[in-house]
Amino acid sequence: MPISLQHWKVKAGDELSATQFNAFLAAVESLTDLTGGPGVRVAQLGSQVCISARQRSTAFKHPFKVASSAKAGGLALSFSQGFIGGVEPKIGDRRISEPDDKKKLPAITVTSDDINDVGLAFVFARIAVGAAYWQISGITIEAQKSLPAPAPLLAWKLLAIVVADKNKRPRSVVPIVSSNLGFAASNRKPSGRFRPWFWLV
Amino acid sequence: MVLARLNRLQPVAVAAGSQISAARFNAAVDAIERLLNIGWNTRDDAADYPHPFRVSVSRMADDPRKWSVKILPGTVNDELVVFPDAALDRNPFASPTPFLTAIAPEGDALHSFTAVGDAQRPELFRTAAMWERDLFVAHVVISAQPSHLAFYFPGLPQRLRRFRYFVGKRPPVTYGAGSPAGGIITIARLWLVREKNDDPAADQLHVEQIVCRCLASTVVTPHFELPEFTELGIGFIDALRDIVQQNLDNTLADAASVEFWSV
Repeated sequence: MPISLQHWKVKAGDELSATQFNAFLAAVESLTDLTGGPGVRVAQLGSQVCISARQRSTAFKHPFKVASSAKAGGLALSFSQGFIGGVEPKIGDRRISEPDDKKKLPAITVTSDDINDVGLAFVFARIAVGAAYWQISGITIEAQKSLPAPAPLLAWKLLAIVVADKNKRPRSVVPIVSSNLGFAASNRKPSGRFRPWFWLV
Repeated sequence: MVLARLNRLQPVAVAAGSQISAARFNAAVDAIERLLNIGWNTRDDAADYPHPFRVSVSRMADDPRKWSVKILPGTVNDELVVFPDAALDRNPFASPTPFLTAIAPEGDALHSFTAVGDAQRPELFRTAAMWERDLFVAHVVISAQPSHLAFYFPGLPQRLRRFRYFVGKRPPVTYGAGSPAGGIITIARLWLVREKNDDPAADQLHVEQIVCRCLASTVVTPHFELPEFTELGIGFIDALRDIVQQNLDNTLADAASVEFWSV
């Protein structure tokens, strides 16, 4: 219901009483009693009052956006769709963006066994390369205690870091990659060794 | 939650029967005017995004000239960049959270900062008010050591290792692969604004974030392969060729550079 101030009005020539004036002040004061709140900030800069509000953010579901949920014995990580060299990694036998019958994305569980001495676990994309054309033949996601040693026809790309508490229980995840990546193999050796290259695409 | 109680008008109120003075009436007018002058703006959440290498600063409690520089975790070549320590480099997840220390200028001693000349001032610091203040800059960089450069094999890509943070004056940007500096990239600049009264407690430190993604890096070395003569059966030419190749590689190695890119 709108507030009416019509009864405060005076006719031409009327005396303005103290009661009327003070009621007027009280009304103005109540109007200026501005409050902020979550996402809203009120500030006075000289004679200027500035109210700033947090813009409604759009949740950008970027490639390889990692979501974590506590699971018995560890932390379950799932990823939004992302590609490395045009290939989508798999967890188990499903692509990372391929939901099951219950619309659940595949997840990799990081347990305390995956945590290294400084309380970290590294979640890598394990990239298998075919010897014939040096193209990606498949990508899976694995948790490791450190960067794995180089091996023939194999490359690794760090996707996320899991941080554990003092008892080596996985607690939180730090994203590393937020874009699709390009991939190329250079310095190709007959032994299957090569140098992997990654870049944003 | 009351964040601002903007106006208190009770002192302007009048007692019953008294005259309403121009001053009191005008005070009420001013209050209404402020109400009409409310400005709105929206803030973007982007500043809150905890991206890799995000730099934040805060003044240390014990000394107003010292600023702690905290950096969110990030990687180069999938290796965590670490905080240098006299005894052992510390990873960014260590407890307590590691940080760098930037020391503000004191008299003629610039410590971590470099004075910024008028011509080099960014636009942000060219307002009338800013011209009245001194401006200094420090760089937050990642440095790397080249691996096994003493046993440099031309033609093989060089590896970099031990990526570490540093805050201070900007190290040389270009270098040969033989440089002990290895390679650096600036991830943020810290702009320190100082009042003319030289009071460090009134200093303002602004962060200009430059890098916000994890990085990859490599040494880029020019290489030219001389042809082999073995199949011709003239061995002495091969020996000569090897000497020329070695000299050529050594010469080209001085033109090497370290390149960084986002991944």
